[in-house]
Amino acid sequence: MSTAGEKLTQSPLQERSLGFWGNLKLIRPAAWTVAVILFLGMQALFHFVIWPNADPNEMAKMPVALKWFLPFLPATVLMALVLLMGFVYVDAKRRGMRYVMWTLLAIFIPYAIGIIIYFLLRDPLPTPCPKCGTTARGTFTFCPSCGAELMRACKVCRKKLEPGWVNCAYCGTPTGAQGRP
Amino acid sequence: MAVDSEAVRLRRGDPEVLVSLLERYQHRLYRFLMRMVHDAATAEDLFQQTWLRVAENAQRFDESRPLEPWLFSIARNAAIDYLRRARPESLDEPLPSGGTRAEMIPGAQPNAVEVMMGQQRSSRLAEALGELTPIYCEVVTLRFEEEMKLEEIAEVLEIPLSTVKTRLRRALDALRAKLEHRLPGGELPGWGPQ
Amino acid sequence: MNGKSKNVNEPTSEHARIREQMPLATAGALDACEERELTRHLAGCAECSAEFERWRELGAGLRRLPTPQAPAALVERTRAQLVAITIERSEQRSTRRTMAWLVLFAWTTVLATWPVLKLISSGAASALDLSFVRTWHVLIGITIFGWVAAGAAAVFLGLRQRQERRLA
Repeated sequence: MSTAGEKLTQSPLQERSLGFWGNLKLIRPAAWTVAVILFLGMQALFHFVIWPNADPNEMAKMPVALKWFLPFLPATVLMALVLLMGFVYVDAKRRGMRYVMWTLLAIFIPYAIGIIIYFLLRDPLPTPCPKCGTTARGTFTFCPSCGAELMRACKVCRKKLEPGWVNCAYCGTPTGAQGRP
Repeated sequence: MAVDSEAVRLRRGDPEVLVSLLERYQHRLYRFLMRMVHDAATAEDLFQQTWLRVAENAQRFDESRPLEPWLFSIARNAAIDYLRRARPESLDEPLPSGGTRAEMIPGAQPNAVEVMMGQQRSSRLAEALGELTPIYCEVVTLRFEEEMKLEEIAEVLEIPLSTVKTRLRRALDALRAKLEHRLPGGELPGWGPQ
Repeated sequence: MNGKSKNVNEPTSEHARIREQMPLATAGALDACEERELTRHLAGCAECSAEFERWRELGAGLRRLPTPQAPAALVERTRAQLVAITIERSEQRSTRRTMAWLVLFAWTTVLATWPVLKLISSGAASALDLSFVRTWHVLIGITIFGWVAAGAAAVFLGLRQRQERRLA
């Protein structure tokens, strides 16, 4: 998983916000393939297994449109789930997170809860170092390449200082700020 | 007017506006910061800090106010914050000579200033300007180099118009005094290009 | 101090006063009335004119000072930073919107499990020879599994977070 950090410094920085379609394009072809297969497979399951084996009376009462529309819903849900899992994989990777763990969580925690947890807890995007320009993960306090301070850090214990702190919350040293937000 | 819609877009957080502002005002803000702190490395840090704060405050920008004084006031506040932390003596009440007790600062030796400025003659003027206390230096630079109106200067410095005039007068007197001081015989050579 | 002014009876304070105005005049900070007064006095006073000329040169010199140029590397770095900040901000906004959709999606899947399973199992029942009761078992099994898995994940992540905070 340490390879995640190295790959990161080579990836180009985003120039503009991706938007919905941009993010979709991030998803790897493998995930798209699985998603499409499951989408079609779910529909096939309905048309070739479920409908033929269902109660004939009920089937007669069902309008044709419904017969074609109904399989579409679980198929879409399944496809969306797989695509989301694929997105978690690629997004966690580019943010320098433990992408294998997060992808597994997205897969095995049902009802999309794993995916929700991911979105809640994900790291910020990597940013360029103000001094040397190399890409650094969004959570880094110092640049691994040139040592420049990426976020306000305590002079004594070198931990990240959040805005508005008058004293460092980790070691107590005064920050020198006036405490305005 | 193009400027108005720019202010609106700035408020909305349009990234292109920020970058275009950066391109337009890069040299002017850098020059202003250099006049305040006299040190290239510090000026670069403050330059980045200024633009970061511009990005942060862009959404709270009041479109009815003019853009330039706002930009310069952010830069000025960044410079004053730095001076307050690093060289608090430089912000003391100016001496009659127009300087402060901390006259010469390391890293701003006359040679460095001269090299930076380039020309021989105007370097004397630049030197003298560099020795002025920041309170005086800022009015002079805003008026003569930025060519800001007095009302705009008042807005940048957050002082009344009358104070701007008073400071300008005192600053120019101090500048003149410095120039006369350094030249033997009381003879004042021309310091502009002939 | 008076020099060769036209009017010998002119008070000294007049020259002093005009000379006090000169810096502001150089800065172009006099109003029209003061401007006129100054011009009028200068027209008749050689010494003050010479003095004003020196002031004017000072002003010209100030206006012509060479501008230190911002280094290109600095501007590029700043530009990259600005872009990163704006992107981060719009990402945060879009994440909030995505969360809303995700929660809706999650609830849909929760609520749809029962009918979908019923549909699948009733349709596949004859094919796979399952009874209706077993469907209930399957449904309960899946729900329990879901909750246990979610709970385990929450506990695991919570412990991880606390561990990281302690080490950090």
